[in-house]
Amino acid sequence: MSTFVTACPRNCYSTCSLEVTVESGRIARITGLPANRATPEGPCIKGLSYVERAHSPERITRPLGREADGSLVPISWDIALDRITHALTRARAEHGPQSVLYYSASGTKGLLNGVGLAFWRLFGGCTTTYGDLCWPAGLEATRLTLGDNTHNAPWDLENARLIVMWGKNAAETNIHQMLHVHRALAQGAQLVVIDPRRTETAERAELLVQLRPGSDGALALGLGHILCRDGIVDRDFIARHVHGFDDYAAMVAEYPPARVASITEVPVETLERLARLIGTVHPCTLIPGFGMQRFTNSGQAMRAMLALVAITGQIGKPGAGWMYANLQTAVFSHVKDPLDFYPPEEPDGVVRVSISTARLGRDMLATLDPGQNGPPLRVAWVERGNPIPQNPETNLVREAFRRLDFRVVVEEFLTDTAREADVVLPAKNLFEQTDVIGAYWHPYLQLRQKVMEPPPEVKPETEIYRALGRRLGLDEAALAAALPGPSDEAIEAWLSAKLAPFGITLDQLRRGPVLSPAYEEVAFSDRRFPTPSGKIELRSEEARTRWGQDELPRYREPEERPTRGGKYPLHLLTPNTKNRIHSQFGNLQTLRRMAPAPFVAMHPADARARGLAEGARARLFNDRGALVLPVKLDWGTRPGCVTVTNGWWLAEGGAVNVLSCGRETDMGHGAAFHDNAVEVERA
Amino acid sequence: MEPSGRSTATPRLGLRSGTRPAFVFETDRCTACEACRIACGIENGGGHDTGWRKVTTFNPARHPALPTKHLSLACNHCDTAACMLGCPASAYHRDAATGAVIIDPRKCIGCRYCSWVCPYDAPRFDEARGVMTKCTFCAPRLAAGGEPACTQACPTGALALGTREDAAPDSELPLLGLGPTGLGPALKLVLPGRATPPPMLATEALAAGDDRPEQPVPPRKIHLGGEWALLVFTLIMPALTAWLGAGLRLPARGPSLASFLALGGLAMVVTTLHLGQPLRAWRAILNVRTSWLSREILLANAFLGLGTLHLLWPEPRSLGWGAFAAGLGLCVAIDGVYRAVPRLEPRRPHSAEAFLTAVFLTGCALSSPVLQVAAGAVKAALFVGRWRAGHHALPPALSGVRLVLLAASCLIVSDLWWLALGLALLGELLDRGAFYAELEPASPARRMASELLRRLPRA
Repeated sequence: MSTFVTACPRNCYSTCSLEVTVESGRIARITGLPANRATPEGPCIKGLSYVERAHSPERITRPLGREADGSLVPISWDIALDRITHALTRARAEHGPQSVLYYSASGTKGLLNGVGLAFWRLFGGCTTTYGDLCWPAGLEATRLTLGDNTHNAPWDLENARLIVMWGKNAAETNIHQMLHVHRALAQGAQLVVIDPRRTETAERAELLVQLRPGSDGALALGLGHILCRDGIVDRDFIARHVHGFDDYAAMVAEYPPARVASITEVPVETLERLARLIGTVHPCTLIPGFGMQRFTNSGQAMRAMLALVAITGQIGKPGAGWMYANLQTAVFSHVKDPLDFYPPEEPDGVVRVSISTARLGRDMLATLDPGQNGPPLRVAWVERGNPIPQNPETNLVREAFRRLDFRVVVEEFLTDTAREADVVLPAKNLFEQTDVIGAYWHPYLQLRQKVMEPPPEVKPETEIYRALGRRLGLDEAALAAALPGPSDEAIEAWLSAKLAPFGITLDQLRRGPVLSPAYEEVAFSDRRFPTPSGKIELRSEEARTRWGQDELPRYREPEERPTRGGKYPLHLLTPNTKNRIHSQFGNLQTLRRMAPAPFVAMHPADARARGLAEGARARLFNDRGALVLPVKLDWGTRPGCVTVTNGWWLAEGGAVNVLSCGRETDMGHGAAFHDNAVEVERA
Repeated sequence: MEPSGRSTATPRLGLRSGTRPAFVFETDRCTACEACRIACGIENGGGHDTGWRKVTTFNPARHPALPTKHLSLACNHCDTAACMLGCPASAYHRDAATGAVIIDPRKCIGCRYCSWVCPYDAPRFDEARGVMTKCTFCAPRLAAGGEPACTQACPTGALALGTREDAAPDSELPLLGLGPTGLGPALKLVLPGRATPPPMLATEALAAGDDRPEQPVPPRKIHLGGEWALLVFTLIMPALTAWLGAGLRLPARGPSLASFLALGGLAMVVTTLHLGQPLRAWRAILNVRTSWLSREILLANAFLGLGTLHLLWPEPRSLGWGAFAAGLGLCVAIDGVYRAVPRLEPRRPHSAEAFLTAVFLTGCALSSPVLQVAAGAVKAALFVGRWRAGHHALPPALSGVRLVLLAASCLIVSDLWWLALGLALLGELLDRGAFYAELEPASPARRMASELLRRLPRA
């Protein structure tokens, strides 16, 4: 029996430090690590379930190949690599290397993820995506306003007197934050939750503001109006550190409470009460989630929310700030998010960055149009992602994949995307190769440590690319330069070289999490904001020049919105739950016990109006697709909204993105999943 | 009001020496993530759900008039452990080092009685093995200076290991289904630090309307389909007692040896086969000191043994009187078994209790107007009283039939004693059936459901 310190590499706020016990070659136990001040208690249920996931009988442990009858059967590595080599060579010969789509997503964090693109450059090039499904509108809004995406340490939340959780349900998506919320509440802090749903987080709230989805920007401007009207702003802070306040104040004058109440459907007295809390209970930490920045108007909405922090002077102090994204651990690249999401201004002629992640299906299909510049996509290589159910417009994404000649998916499990593949290559799991990971909530660099050998036929991507490169006849020396060697020692040497500039060693990381060299407990405590004006920018020229938006964060309705009495009168909410990270974990028995099947939650008034009772089969539909699901009555869902949690697979009948639309957010090239109007009827 | 308890990270280890462990549960910190439950399965179930720790939610449908709260509960390892006291097979013991109440599945006969008497719903029946299992407090981990898997896993610090010395003598929180038990649970509830109204719903459109949510309740533990063997036993034994007793006064009305053995044997066989581990049935008499169930089984054997001897050798009659006394004692024990089951409603005497039935049937068999009519009248009064109070499982038509049968059997005071006895037995069958249908042990989940109904505003 031996224990190791490692870390969970999922795309999750918490990025927990873990202590893993290995017994007779199996993961026997997983516990938390108090050395991580952000996650000192236990891991979440998904972290615990690695005990099952690491040894699941459903795990793919050998290459799978598509047979003539359409089935996927185990094949040897030789055959798998031969088939891939044949398809790649042919596509490159007929259409050039950019007819190959390299699609990688956020399934696993790690520095070694970067070797993929290095390989494809050796191949001669490829096509990749730009933008990101998750959080770019908020990142960009923050960058435009504050100059950088960083925030106070997670534990600093305990110093807050007012916590405004805006569109974030930390109890399910960042459970470790609740520890700090509870400690703050125990010391007398107040919690406000702004969310169309009465979430688990909201149970602890002083005030729950169930606004109309997508109207967050108007709510923020209305609050700004009241703060300016009543003079509960920090005039000294504004004078020193805020750019564009006068223009902002003139603009919010157009958003009096009565108007905002009609847009947001939040009563005037609630607006007044909320504004007074934000203006007077300090320090105040505003914690926006990711969900509310996935509308077509949400970059501007986030800027309007940031303005509340700015005009009340709630930044750069303990217990205060804008807790959206903390990129203090992003020290390994010169280009940080969100800028590295954007297509290069000058294409390098090798990698074509032409597919918007938000419009994956549409843009892939568009390459097939005869009039298009550039080669049509013929082959796709997918790793660390499950784009068919997870990207907007699932039906179009699936069609786009089906229109290709050949698909390779590197996966641990037979996901919806893997099911469409011609070759599925077995992926390593987090216990089988060492890597260094950062986080986006806490400031720790961590080692995701190798604690066991992979199954005999599972190879890490570094090895897959090396073997494929040899088949393709790529230059051996160039391959060796691009990819770290196969041995554990070579991987460690590669990682050590990455860490060396910061004076951090692997041995340090083996003992526990290490604070990033860019760590600041209180972000912006020096009041230096790396914006063009050096101040917090309420007016941003770049909002106009880069994104074509108003320089001020004016409110605009989302492109798609439900209309009462219209064809699609209901707003579909597709939040994440504690039981999954996007489409991962739901296939495990451990999680299935808690969430066996998808359902649609709706307010009894909406259900009654459609003749639907608890458990009735309902059909959710719009012009893009339909789902048939049982109804769960939920008094906590805002009337006019229905909720299906995100992450169910097509194979489970609950893939929510059959209903979403491939659209970009107003800035940042994010995916505006949440502009999503539906109707529900009896199935 | 309790303070929040811990302002820093929960200590990973560490009971002070000389202190005894207790679970500490802080209601406001629990988000129902269920890490405790999963960690228990990993530690104790080989990755499968042990069912030992459950997270139950009050108001899961989030009715706006009420808060939503969660309770994570396993075994409270009570000072006065109802499971251990009730277990007829002495399968339970207390771990000396930790105070944990432990069941040894190798000694368990699978009667499930501990799951009836535990007010916290802690013991679980393992269908595959035919025995009960339950939370062990992770006693080996505790003994080694660690903490239980569940408390160690809790990511929010809602569930932690504390000491019994700090625990309140009885943890009560009606909203979470916890009432006073008097058992001394090793559970410290850290109650809400401030009033916890439901979050303010800031939109007029969110009015609740007339719809009322349902609180899911766990499946019943006691239902006729599963407990018919007990119905057979608890009906045959008073009847056989009455029949044998009648024969002592009027030998012509007594049972033959064959019918006595056939009926008594039937009762014993069906109850034995009803056990999860019938081959260990002999263990059922090992805990006469504290278990009414053990007493019941011992007295049943005494009654059948003495009754058989009496029917073989009618003289001296003292053997027969001894058997009759054992039979009446058995009926008292039967009633004792059920009296120990915790109930949602205050317990009232039931018209189908075994001792009362034995007296009534004895009256019928002897055509004794005093016994027959008096006991019948008591039964009728209890039955009607229960019906009117609404704690009643028989549908109205069957209730009518039951009363007609009771009246008829009371009025036939003559040589037609066998008809009176037969009609009485039919009536008792209905009433005893209702007894089981009405007998569901109160668990936190059931208490929670009834509390929700009580607190919901009337539509």
